[in-house]
Amino acid sequence: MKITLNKTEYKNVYVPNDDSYLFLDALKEEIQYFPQNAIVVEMGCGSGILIGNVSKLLQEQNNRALMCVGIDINYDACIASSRIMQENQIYFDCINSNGFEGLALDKSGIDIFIFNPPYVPTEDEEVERCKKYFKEKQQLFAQAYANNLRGQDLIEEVAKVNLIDCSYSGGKDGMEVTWKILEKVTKLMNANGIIYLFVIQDNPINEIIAFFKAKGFEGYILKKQQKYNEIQLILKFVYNK
Amino acid sequence: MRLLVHNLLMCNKCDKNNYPLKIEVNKSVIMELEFKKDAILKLIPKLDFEVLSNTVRELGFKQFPKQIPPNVDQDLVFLKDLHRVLFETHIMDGQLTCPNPSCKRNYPITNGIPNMILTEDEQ
Repeated sequence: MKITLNKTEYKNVYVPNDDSYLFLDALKEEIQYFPQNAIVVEMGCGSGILIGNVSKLLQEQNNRALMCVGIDINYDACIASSRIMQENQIYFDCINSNGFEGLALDKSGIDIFIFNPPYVPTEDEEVERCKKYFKEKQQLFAQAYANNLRGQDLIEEVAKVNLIDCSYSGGKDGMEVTWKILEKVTKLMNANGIIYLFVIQDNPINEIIAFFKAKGFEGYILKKQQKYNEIQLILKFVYNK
Repeated sequence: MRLLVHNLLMCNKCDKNNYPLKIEVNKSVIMELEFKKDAILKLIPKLDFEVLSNTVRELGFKQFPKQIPPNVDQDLVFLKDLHRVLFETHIMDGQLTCPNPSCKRNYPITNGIPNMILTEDEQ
């Protein structure tokens, strides 16, 4: 799958990095365990590198996902990932939302959940700054939409506020967003559903594992690597419903 | 956005009568995808079929059945229609509206992306 980001997207959308490639390697090895016709959801899909490749690999194995849904808080990322999927003829839908806001996933449930969260521990001020930009972008969108900007004009206008900081800024323990999402997604998983989560050593890994255990999930460490001063891990949690 | 996704969206501003969202389509395109009978049969139980059927008929496909036909696994005509509706029809521009009369919040679909984000004072 070819990821092509234009100049603005290169600034505004998370460009696949070491964390993405580690995650992708893990998913490539895992794909053989995915159920037939799975409902696959990725939170914070960015450029779409993870869910796009999953969808493509499933198709190649004659195991098409029933749904591959990417959710991203950043409109620019939704636009970029949708375009990239079309260019690669990959089967995918993207929703611009804040976490699971507006999603009624209770009936279908989720079989595979992929999450590379904003994991970097950051100061409160940085979290506040992200919230401010997020609010500004949403206001800009509403205004541009009300002014009847559509198509490329809307894309360019909305891109004037850059949400890239939201893609990594994780607040306290780097877990501010992660805990909210995990709390919700554990209620949406189907029996034998699998959650894949990226973490770094600075995140409270033992607490995360204990959280999942209490909800009936069995946990595994799939990958571990050191990049500069960051130890990165891919965790897998299987729901024993 | 495809109708498959419409089946998964609700208004997050209210907690009742918030599903399904009414849908208005200004522009849609068909992108073909290989028909797979097994996949679509597997999907049916995961859908809110009544919601889908109402939506499809409101959008002008009047012959679309209200209920899942009996012997659905042999009804190729129906399955192919369902495939077209769920997998191949992409809504590029339009809007979703909360069905709750006291809310009626609009969620725009632009460039194929539904924007479900609430403002701070709506949360």
